[in-house]
Amino acid sequence: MSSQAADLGTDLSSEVRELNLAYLLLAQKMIKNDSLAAQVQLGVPESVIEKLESMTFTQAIRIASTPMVMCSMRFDDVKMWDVMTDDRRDQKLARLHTAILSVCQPVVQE
Amino acid sequence: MSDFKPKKSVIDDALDVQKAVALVKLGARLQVLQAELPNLSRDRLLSVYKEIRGNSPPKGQLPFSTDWFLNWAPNTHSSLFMGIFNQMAQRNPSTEQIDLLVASYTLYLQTVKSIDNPAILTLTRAWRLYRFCAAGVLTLHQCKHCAGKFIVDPYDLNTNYECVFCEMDTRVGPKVDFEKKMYQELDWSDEQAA
Repeated sequence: MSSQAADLGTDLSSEVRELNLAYLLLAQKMIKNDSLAAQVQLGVPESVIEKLESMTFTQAIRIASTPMVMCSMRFDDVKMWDVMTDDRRDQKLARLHTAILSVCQPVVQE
Repeated sequence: MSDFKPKKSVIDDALDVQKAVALVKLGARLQVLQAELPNLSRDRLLSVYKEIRGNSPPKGQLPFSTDWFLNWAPNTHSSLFMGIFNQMAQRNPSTEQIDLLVASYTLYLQTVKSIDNPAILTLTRAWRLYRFCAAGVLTLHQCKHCAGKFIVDPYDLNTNYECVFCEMDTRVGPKVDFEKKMYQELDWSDEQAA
């Protein structure tokens, strides 16, 4: 229709790509370092853990090249956010409370 | 050869020694090693212990009370550790308990370090705790406010259970503070039986 290039607005897709790549590579490093701990820290199903572990660098770059952010917000419980953002509390205790709540999330099934 | 007896596997033996090393480095007492690694003799465990620590293991009983885990500061750390342990155990039902113990205790230490808390729970206590939970003497219960799971005595009245954090918010009296001596200055070592 119009001859001029479409206005894409502020394009953040390259930053998303960088975030994705950093996430994938860090996840792989964590799994190789200690897969039991990484499962809990990453919170992704075991089948995905296996794929991430065997992923090559070229694959990681290819997988990361998408405008969609690959890591999603894991803690979607409002109560937990209330604890984390409550400024009246002792900060060290609030962080401890958050840590406990974060390990009480249900395990993601594949 | 009809009278062939399976010999003790050298590889399994080496793996057991490795696990003993990992446990001692994390602070396990000799009794923990003896219970978790029944295939290694006491003498060998003792020499592993001495080689890493440079001295003999403390004598005396292990702490055996469940009450310790219900004091508020130890309770929070115990709940954190058991949460980590259960997450790992649920994801890896076929992994040996001892490997889960080492991995979950390591992650517990990393977690408290990153949130600037002292590591109140020693490995020996953590081991005791998971044995208590496995035996049903202690259990995890959900707090009615924050939905976090905390260590409780199953024979207490837990129907309206509030965790220590949520209780702190609602109770009257001085505000509990991390720097107060009830959190910082107590002796958390497991050297004496409590």
